[in-house]
Amino acid sequence: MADNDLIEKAKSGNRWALEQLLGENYHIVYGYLLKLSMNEEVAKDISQDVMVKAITNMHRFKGDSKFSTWLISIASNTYKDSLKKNRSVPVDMEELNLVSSKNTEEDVIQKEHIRQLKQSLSELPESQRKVFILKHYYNYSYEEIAGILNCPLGTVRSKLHYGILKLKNLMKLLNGGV
Amino acid sequence: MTTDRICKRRQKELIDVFYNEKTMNKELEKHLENCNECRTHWKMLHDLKEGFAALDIPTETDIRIIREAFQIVDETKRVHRERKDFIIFLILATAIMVGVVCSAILGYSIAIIITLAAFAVLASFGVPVLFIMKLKREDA
Repeated sequence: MADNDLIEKAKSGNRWALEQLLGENYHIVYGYLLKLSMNEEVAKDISQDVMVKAITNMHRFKGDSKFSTWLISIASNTYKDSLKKNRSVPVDMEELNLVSSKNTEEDVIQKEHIRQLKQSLSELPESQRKVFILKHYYNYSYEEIAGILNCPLGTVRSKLHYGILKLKNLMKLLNGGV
Repeated sequence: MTTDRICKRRQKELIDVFYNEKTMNKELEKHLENCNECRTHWKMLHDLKEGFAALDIPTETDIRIIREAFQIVDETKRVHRERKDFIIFLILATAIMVGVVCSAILGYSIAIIITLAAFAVLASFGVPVLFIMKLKREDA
């Protein structure tokens, strides 16, 4: 079934359609929150809050953006709220299961590389990190990001530029280049 | 404009080009060919993309979390409905009590007793019927 049909059905209260839509887009929300928080538990908790908000506010979805974009927008606000509540989200440098469990030399190097990436990403201010993730991993346009984060387009551009420059310097500091 | 400022501007443009916000124009291309610093910046963008690809972990849909979210919403709705029902009950009960007290003060005690007796008879039949209807609706 096409996404538009599912959206219309979900808006009119069809639970199955809404479950399908959320199921199709869950990995986007979770992946975004995982990169943002770098903590699996936190990402899961906030993802659930996002799902609850999406179910509650489905009737408010206007359809002027993609459904996934709407969810990302909810995820951004929910993450911001959770930061306000908890002051800071603990970054777990070892937690993400990105490489195989075999302790080969290659794995150790890869783990160290990932640790450095996470560390440098976590050094970015939250707003720059959000813009970088949305642009770098999800390829949203400046306009879409401005809509998601509810800020001017120029701000998005400058946050990305400053974020990238900071990452460049951080990576240089950590290992003399990416 | 100094070379440094030109390069800074060009490097911002290069970020826009790298992220598909602009297309590479001849002027920028020419600058890139002749400027070492901007070429390093351009290469850094590619390295950054390659490096950060390691964090792009494929994630799976956790249907359990979605189901739990539906349960949370259902529970919240139920609590809201019960709270609303309780408030309506409270308003009605207060209105009836006020009515009864006012009528008693105005000297309508016998009328009140008759009304209450009629209400008790109605309730003794009505409440079980309503209860059965509610159970049937919940089953459906």
